[in-house]
Amino acid sequence: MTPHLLIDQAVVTYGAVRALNQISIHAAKGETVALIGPNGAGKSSLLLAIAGVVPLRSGAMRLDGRDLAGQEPEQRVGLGISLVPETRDVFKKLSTHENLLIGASRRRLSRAQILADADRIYALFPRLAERHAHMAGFLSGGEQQMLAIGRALMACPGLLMLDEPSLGLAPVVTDAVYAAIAALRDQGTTILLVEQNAARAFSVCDRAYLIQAGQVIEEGRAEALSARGSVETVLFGYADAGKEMTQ
Amino acid sequence: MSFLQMLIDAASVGGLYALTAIGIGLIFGVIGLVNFAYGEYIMVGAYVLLLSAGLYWPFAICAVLIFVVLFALASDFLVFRQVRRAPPETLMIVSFGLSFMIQHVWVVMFGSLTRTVNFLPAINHSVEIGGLRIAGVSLLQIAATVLLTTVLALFINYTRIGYQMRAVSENPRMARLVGVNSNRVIAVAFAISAVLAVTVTVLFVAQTGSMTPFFGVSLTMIGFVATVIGGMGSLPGCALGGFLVGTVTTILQMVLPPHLQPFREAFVFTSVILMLLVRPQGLIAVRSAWERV
Repeated sequence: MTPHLLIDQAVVTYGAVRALNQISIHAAKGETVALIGPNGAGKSSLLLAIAGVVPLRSGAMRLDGRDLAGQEPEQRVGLGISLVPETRDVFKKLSTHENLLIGASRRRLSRAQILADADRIYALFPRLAERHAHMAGFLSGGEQQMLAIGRALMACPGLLMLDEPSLGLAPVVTDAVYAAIAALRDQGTTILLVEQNAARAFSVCDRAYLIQAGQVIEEGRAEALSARGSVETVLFGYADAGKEMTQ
Repeated sequence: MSFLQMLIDAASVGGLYALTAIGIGLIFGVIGLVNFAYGEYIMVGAYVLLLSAGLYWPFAICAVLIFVVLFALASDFLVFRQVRRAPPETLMIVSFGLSFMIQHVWVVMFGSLTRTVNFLPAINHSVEIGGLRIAGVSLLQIAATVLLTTVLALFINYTRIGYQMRAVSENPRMARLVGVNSNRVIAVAFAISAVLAVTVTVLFVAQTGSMTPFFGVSLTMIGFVATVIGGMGSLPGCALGGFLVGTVTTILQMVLPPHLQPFREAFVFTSVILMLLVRPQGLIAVRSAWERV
């Protein structure tokens, strides 16, 4: 069976810097895959390359066997790829409601259908419903994160990519965001999750890649990786660091 | 001449400048391009009116509308889209180049001498309202300005393409990442700016009846100045700036002694410089939907 998403030997460079160095990953349909690694490992670059805003130097990317080369970012949204970037990038001068509606730009739907979809997002994040008429720039960080996720969901993605969704959020807001991610996983959305908070990621993902210097260091099921202490090795340089930090 | 009479003159001249300023400000707001070729959209339309002289006037206006909208879309598709990611100063120089090129192609085709056309002479008749003699074209200018700015504001604030346009303006990369076809949105912005240009063309030619391949330049300069005064990128600011320049021009026309009249523009631009020294961000600092970083 062809995997839903297949990245084969992808190379991304920024000038002389290699952000991705022949990285290969895959995700099956409905699978939740975490990408874990330190700052600058290339996780965000990988998501941006899949979304189509950062070009591949070499290598290939396939979605359901279809080559993504030459597909513009907006076309990839139409193919079912949605990105929630690390910086969230809600449209600050659009209302919360308009931010959701714009997420459905690629779908040929009647206004009534789009509004019904927006209502589903409001049910998922009731906080957004209270704020629907506010300019998104006036929302709190957590609300903006919910809005960025909601906006991505309005495209009805088959592959949802989340870049550090818990970054800078209060624990209670992180809980809400992760509850939503778990709900999406249970609905069968394929999820690619970038996290520095490995414990959080492991709580929802099926499988994880440990990434360092633009390459996959290790790959496996979440339980296996955490049992082996590989995450601490990648993130902190030695195996017991995580334990020391919690002491 | 009464104060009210002057006010109407200021509003009609200002309306024309406001439409020009909005046409320039809209494109600047969406893609950060200061489009100096905007005056040529106005100018080429005038020559379409010249060529379609003799046609029943609604057909002539339709011909101008179709030609200028296609002309503006072609300038975007063939020129500006090719340099979409270039820095703003490059975009500006490219638009300068395009502007000169069009002017000189038009000199080759039509010569550089003034051509005249008698388009809709009826609207220059004056009507008398409450003791004031008002040229029909003045009323049309005021009406067209009010109508077009209202429709444009509704369009930008309440339609799907409108909020997509605001999104492209704020964050072009993220707009594409949520699936907005930014090239189409930008093309719509060019088409709208062309419709504004056509309005200016029709009113201007009906009023003056004359044209040269270079007459768009001074209008662009005034429109550009009006956008700067209003605060680059703010559409209400553009409209306000246009009306302000129109008012200053009209007042100067009245108060300047005859031997200083030829230097009217110098006084207009001096007042602009003074205004920018006092308030460099423009009258309406862009915190509106059209802010650019």
